[in-house]
Amino acid sequence: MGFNGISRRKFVKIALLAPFAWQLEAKEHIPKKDISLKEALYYKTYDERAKTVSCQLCPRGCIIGEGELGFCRARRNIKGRLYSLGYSRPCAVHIDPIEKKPFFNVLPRTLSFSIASAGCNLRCRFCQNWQISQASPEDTVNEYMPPEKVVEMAEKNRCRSIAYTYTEPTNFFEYMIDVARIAKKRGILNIQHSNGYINQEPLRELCRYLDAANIDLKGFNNAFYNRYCEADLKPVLETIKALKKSGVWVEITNLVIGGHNDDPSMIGTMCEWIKKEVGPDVPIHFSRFFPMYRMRNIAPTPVGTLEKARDTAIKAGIQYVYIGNVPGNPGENTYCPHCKKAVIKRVGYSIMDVHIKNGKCSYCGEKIGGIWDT
Amino acid sequence: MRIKNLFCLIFFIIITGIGGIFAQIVLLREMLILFSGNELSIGVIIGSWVLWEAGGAYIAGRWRLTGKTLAKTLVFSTLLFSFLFPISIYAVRVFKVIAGIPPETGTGILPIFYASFFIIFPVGFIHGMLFTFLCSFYSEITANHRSSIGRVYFYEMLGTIIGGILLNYIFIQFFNSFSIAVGLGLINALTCIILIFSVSGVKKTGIAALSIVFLLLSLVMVAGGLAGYMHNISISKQWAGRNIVYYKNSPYQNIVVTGDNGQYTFFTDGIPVITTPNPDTGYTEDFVHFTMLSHPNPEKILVLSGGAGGVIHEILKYKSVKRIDYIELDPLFLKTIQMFPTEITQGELTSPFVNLHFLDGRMFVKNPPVRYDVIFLGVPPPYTLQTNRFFTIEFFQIVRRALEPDGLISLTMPATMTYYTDELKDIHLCILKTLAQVFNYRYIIPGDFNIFISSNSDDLKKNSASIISERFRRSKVATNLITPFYLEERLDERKTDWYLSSLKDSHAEMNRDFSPYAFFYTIAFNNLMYSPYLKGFFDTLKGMNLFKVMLFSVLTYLFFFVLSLRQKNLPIVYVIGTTGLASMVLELILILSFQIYYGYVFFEVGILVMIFLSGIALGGMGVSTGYVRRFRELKMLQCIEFGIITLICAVFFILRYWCPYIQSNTFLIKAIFFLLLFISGLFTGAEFPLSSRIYDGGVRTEGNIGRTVGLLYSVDLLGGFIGGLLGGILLSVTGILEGCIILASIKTLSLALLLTYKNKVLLS
Repeated sequence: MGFNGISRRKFVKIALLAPFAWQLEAKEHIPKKDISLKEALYYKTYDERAKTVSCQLCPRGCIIGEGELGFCRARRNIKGRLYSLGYSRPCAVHIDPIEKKPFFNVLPRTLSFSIASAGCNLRCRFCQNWQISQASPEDTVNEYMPPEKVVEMAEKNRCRSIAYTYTEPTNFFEYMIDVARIAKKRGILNIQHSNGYINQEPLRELCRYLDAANIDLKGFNNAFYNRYCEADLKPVLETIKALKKSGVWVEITNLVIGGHNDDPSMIGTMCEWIKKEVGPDVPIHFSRFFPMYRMRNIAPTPVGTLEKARDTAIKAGIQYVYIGNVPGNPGENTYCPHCKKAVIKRVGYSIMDVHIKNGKCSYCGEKIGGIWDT
Repeated sequence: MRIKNLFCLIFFIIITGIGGIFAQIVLLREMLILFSGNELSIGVIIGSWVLWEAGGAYIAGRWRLTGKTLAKTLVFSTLLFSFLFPISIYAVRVFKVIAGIPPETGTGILPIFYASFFIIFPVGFIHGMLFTFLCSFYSEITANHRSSIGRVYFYEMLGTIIGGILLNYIFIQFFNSFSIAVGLGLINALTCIILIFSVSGVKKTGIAALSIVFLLLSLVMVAGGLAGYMHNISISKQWAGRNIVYYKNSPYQNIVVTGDNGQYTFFTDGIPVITTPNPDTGYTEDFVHFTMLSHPNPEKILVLSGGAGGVIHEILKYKSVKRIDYIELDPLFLKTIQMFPTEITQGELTSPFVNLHFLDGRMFVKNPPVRYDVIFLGVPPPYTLQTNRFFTIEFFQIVRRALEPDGLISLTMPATMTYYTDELKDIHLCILKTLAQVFNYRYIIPGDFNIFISSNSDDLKKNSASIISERFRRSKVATNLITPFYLEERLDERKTDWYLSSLKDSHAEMNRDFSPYAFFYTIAFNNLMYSPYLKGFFDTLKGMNLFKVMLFSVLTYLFFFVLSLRQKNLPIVYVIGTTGLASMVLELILILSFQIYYGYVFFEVGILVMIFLSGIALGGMGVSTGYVRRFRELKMLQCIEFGIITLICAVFFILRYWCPYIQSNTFLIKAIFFLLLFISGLFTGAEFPLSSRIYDGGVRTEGNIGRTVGLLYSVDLLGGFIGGLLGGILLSVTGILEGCIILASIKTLSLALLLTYKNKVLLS
């Protein structure tokens, strides 16, 4: 970080954009017809006179002026009250194999009803779903799908889980909670793919309904988070620990970007931390990066780098270590931590073979961490 | 002041022209690598160069330097230009480091604008000043005011042509940018010394010493390999964190290879295109197998670009394949791949089934050796006007003729399985509509990239997941990704239904050679990634049409007409500015049209540009001869204006009604385009010195020359700046041929304004 906490890039950007500041003035807010306003659960009045509010949902703690959007673009201050814009208004609704989320130790071969509203509280330069994560629900064409309907649709399509994914589910927190509450009652699993950037109090509420979470641990140093995601590392680590402590099944995805977060010692430190603070049974997915969004002038991750990362994790004592986006690599399989045989064989997200019975290895009877059918 | 030998000054002017084109092309190429450029960024970069040249010319005109001061300033400016040129190259390469942008991150249009604006400023500004200084100096030395502008214009253009040929065809392939810049500095220092000692009446000591020191420094840099050292240092900063194992410029592009942990990645103009030995299996297997399995018995295959590094490897798994013709434009690219061999790429490039061809893919498909069962279109998406030619109705019609009756073509487009933005919808609907215009049937496989398979064969109509699965089972082809479950999930019809319903709000147009909508939509989509704050600008452009642009032209004319009631000379300025704009856009129209009918051939395109510049040079020279002086200058200018309008109309009619019928006659096509560009250059070149003489309105004083040149040259360049910046983008929404109508209206209005002009002093 540079002068007064502003990065050099940001300073240059502000200085150069200053002549165009007149273009950046916020326009009067006119709600789109496919927006439903739901008062946010976690916020406080910051300045009653100025009608400014302070969002308490994620570590950004945005102070939002009247009429303005929060950093996530999914919350707006309307006359001194903070509203979630994406409630009941998903822009993406799909049915995916659960392996795509990716969850490799949760109900293999099942389908997951996946939803997302637009917005995100990070600015990752390599985001795969940037078209909706870097947008507001006011910009996207949304369906109307109240919580009850989400669960109905999941049941109708024989989905064993509902996934809050594609964008950052924290930004449609209220919607996620309401759906999850109903889903829990109906025996449908609640799973999410998240960046982990959420405050502890809302996280505790979420954990009452959440069954599994895949957290993106994008890099294991703050400099990487600052530079490439405009965020900090520490809150993500706290989230991972809290999830595990609450009994939520946790899997971690580390998108390995060559030359940026692939330093072997950093990966080693990360694995040691995971083993110590969260447990050796937390699966890690080392995913191969391909040029994406604003990071297009960079080579894909070498497979050798991923294999070294996997070896490092296994040596550190992590029991389930996967390599993603390299179809046909043996790192796609699940191996029994005891007898080392492949209990789930995969090609991409196709399951070729399963040797798990009642959550145990069919070969040696060792318990396999995860959520399985009994 | 006197000069011993005028040839020394002429040589100086020619070298100045060479220096200008060297700087422009080298910096443009460096910036394209930095920004992974397309026509919009090319327009911004060239526009910045033109703008700063205009600024420099104008300011130099205001200074009104004469005599010894002029001579010394001329030499000093030349040395300064030579000094700043390599520094500008370095600044381009380390721009992202300076700006705090991670080197692997793309940038939006505003950073491109700022970078080109500020980096080009020193060299562009000084070069613009040089032209004005040279006109004044030539006029003083020869005491021939009337023809000095025309002659300097001619000599500088000559230098531009020579420099363009030398750089594009020889230097760029053998020397790095720093070596070229330092070499130029050495030549410039030499010409400065020659000029200083040729001119009498000027105290030489200080400026001569400076020139000699500069010459010696340049010699040291060349001999001591310092240019190479600067090159390596700047490359390592530009590609920070990456291990460069190969770096070379071909005439077509810059090629870089990085190595990391057993993997080689091949970049062209800064974009990764191939990774070995582990390609993107998700792309290669999907693209190849879904396509091959959509044909009952694929034997003859054509791969138009993008074949090496996995695609051909997958195609070769099919026992039915008897022949693969693989087309790449740049032979250096495949040579580079072979320098870093892997099992996959060696298998591809040395297979007895594979025939390599190095030429424009569209040219090849016009006269194929056989008709094909499957054609893979592996060119990048249409984010340049160059690649747009491979996604048009006209191209698909050519492809249809190159296919067997049951043959099919397959192409991919960036896509998503979560949500389609308006911009992405436009791209897809545009491509779908274009394909539907030529092929009866289309089979779409949505995904993170979509695969479009098109054919006129009924077989494709019956294509389905079960048929593909069955063929896959029978083929026994070994794959890493494709499994029966994967096929079932990937080819689920509900995905296609979702994809097609996502496009329902779009009103995208079909993509044609002369209406390159796909290019515009792709630029707008790319803009969303890097400069989302410009979405409104692109939405506005999308709504532009011929009528709106012409209305704007009329309003601009009316504005100038009102102003000209007070500013008597304004019509001349307006004429020059609009000619600058028209010549830039007309050149773009002709070069694009040439590529459409003939194909992209680097050498021919280079010759086209040189012919245009030759026309400019000869036009400028022509008005400086005694023969032209017989005519009244204003009448001459009016005739030229009329000639430009006639030429533009002729271009429209020739492109619209004649070229489609003669396009198989390559000699005639070339001849027509050479002639049109030459005449265009001739008119453009003639107008500038003529307008300058009219503007002055009488016998010139020495001070007036500089001021006149400065103003008019800057206006000429400003017009060119606007034309270059917006030309490509606007043409893609209004249509290329409609661009001719717009230009004809603009020049008709400028002629109308010129007819109101009364030249108080008419020379007989």
